[in-house]
Amino acid sequence: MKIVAVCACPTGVAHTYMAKKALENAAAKLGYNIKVEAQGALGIENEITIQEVKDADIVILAIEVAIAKRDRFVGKPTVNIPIQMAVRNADSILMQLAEKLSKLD
Amino acid sequence: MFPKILGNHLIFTQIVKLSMIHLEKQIHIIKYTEVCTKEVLRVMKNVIVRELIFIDTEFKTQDEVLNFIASRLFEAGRCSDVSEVVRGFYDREAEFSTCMNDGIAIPHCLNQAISDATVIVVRNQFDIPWPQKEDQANLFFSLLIPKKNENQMHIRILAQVAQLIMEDDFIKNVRDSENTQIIYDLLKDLNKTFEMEKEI
Repeated sequence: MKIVAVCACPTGVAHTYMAKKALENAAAKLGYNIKVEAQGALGIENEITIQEVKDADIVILAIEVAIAKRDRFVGKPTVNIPIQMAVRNADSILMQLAEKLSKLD
Repeated sequence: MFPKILGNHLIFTQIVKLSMIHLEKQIHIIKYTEVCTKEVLRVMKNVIVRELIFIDTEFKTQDEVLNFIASRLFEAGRCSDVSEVVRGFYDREAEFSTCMNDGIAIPHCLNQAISDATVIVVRNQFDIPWPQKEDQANLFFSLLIPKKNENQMHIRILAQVAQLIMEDDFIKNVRDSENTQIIYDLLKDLNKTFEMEKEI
C-alpha cells in the first residue's frame, strides 16, 4: 500500500510533527510505503509531488486547519482523520485502511 | 574661467551631496546592524534550560499547573504577561485537548506575550484531572511559542521536542530521572541544532 499524508494542526508546532512521526513509524512497522508532508509553523516540509499523489493508493489528511495545495488530491481516495487520532492510533488506522483497500480490489 | 569656477562649484556641491547620501547610508547601515545585533542577542536564549525543568511538584489542578508554567516563564524573562499565556493555553486546549495517552500532556500556546521559544517540563507527584479530555496527566511538556519574530530554528527545536515525546524510551527515562539535571541531559542536545545554525 502506497500512502501520502498531510499533517496540520492549529499551532503548527506540536501535533503536526507528532502525527507525522507516528504515521511514518506505523508505516515502517507494517511495511507500507508512506510520504508524510507537514504543513506547520515552518511552512510546507517534505512536500508531496503531483507524481507521488498519482502513484499513491490513498491520501490521508490528518488536518485541523485549512491546508495549502489541497487541489493536488482531487479525485484521489481520501481519508480525513482527526490529527490526535493519527498521533495515538496510527497503527490501527493504517491497518484498517489496508483492509478496506484490499476489499475494494 | 568663470564657467570653470561655476563648474568646480557644481562638482563640489555634488560631492557634498554624495557624501551626505553616503553618510546617511552609513548611519542606516549602523542602525540596521544595531537592530540585527539586538535581534541576535534576543534570540540567543536557549530553548531548553535546566532551570525550567521541575520535578516532584504537588499540583492538584490543571489551573495550578498552567499558572505555574506561565509564572516561571515570566520570571525567566521570557514572557511579558502571565495571564495572556494562561489564556493562550486554554484557547489551545479548546481546539482539542493536548492530553495524550500515558498521563502526558503537552499544553502549548503561540502568543504575542511570549518573547522566547521555550520548553518547560513539569513532573508532578500525582495525576491531575485534564477536563478537556476527561483524562488525567502527571507529566507536562509545555511548548511556548513566540508570535513575533519567530525564529525558524527555535520552532524546529520545539517540533523536535514534540517528536521526542512520542518515544517510549525517552518518556521512561524522564519518569525515572532522579533529578532535573538528568532530564536536562536527555534534552539538551536539541539546543545544539540552534548553535550550529549560529556558527553558519
